Amino acid sequence: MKTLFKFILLTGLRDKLYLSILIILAGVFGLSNLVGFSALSEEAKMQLVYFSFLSRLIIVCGMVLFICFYINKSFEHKEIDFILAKPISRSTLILSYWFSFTLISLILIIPTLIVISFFTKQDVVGLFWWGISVILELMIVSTFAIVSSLILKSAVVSVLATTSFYFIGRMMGFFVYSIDLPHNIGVVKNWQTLSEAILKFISSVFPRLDLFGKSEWLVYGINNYNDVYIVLGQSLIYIPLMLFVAFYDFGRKQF
Amino acid sequence: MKNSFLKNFDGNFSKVNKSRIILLCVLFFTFLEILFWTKTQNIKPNLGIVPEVPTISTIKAFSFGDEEFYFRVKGLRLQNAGDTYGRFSPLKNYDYKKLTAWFQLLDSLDNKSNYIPSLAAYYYSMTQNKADLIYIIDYLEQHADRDPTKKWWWYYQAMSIANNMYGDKELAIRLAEKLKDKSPLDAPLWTKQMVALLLADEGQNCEAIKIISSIIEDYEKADKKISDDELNFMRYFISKRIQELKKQNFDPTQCK
Repeated sequence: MKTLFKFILLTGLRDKLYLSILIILAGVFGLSNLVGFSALSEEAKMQLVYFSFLSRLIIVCGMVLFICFYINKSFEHKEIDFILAKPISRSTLILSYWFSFTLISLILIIPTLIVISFFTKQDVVGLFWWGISVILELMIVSTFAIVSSLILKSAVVSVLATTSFYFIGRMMGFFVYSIDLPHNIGVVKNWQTLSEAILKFISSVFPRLDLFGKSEWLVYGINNYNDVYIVLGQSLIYIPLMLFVAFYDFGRKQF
Repeated sequence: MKNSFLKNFDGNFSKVNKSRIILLCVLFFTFLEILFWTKTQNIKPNLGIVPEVPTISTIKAFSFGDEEFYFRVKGLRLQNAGDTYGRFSPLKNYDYKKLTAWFQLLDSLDNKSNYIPSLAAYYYSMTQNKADLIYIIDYLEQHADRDPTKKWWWYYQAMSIANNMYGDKELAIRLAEKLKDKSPLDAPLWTKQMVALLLADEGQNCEAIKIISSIIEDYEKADKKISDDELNFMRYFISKRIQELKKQNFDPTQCK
């Protein structure tokens, strides 16, 4: 497991993942500064919000691409077959991937947190919880990327599936809001009952990523710790759920 | 048929003939493209000045869970509305009703921020069309009503616009009274005095005196100290006003 762990970290280094993300983050910081200075007032807040949102998005995209293509490459080059030929269980393999990608997410988010804490004006407690929620968000997305890469044969399809998962998760607040909309207007038709049922099913299956990493925590601090508990609760449930799905599916795969 | 055409094309023609035909096809389609351009060059996007106001559902969908980021993006968009793509639009051409709808919508995303009222008070109030200022005044008052203890500054801005730019003294006095009543006790003294100054300007000296007296009583009850700067201003103002009141033969004892 340790060897695989080191190998994945080195692959990130070899593929210049860390360097590229750092360079892009530097560009985003410059862009955020430019946007911030152009605001009529609250320049520092504008800069902070732009940088935090964009850096989070870039790291998520970087991780999804890296994980999906790495696992797909491992299947193509028979690396996984070779590893499984040794006395390593399939669950151990999945957990190794999971720990490695989680550590890479941590490595990538740390520069963002450093830049925010030293170069912007932010609420310190808000920054702490924002950092935690973004790391948990990255862990959820990375776990889903691992699951989809193990299930789906094509790297491109895995990337698309994970990206769709991420955006649907981020829009989950809107879907939940839409469920009540026909009732609020007072007109409920048959097809709206069906769409309500579909939306309810989707909202029960997808995580509430819209509650993660809110920029307002950085600007104004945490008003209501219920938001934080929801983030922690969602992560504690969803990450093990997806890991067990991966264990189940990968355990049944024929090599 | 397609295969035989290609076979003939490949088999029967020499390389020189083939390249000439291909060149002719390139020229033909280039000519078609230029013709197409002449017909479509005047189809331009309608950029407009103030963008259409989205619904709350649209905001929920496109904010991707981060309403603060969406607020900042749209706020900046509103700041630059009408001045994009090298344009400079005079403020009199803006739809202030739509602008106000935008202000209120963005306040629903973040009502703690002072970015939108700053835009309204310092930028959009510079319109050449004075009739539009009522939208700005109403918006600033509504924004301040959300949390008067922290947002009292926008009462003052609304009052200032109403008095100096819009020219509605009654409205300015009403806003100044709101500023006096709703600003916290630790707000600067002038927030309490503003209504008296406006009433005195209108010649309602008795009312002005009553207000100043009540301010003094409130400060004495709360045992609040007045800063030296504020005291100096009050002395200067009173001495100036006394000269004017003497000219008017004003007798404060006649005030009920």
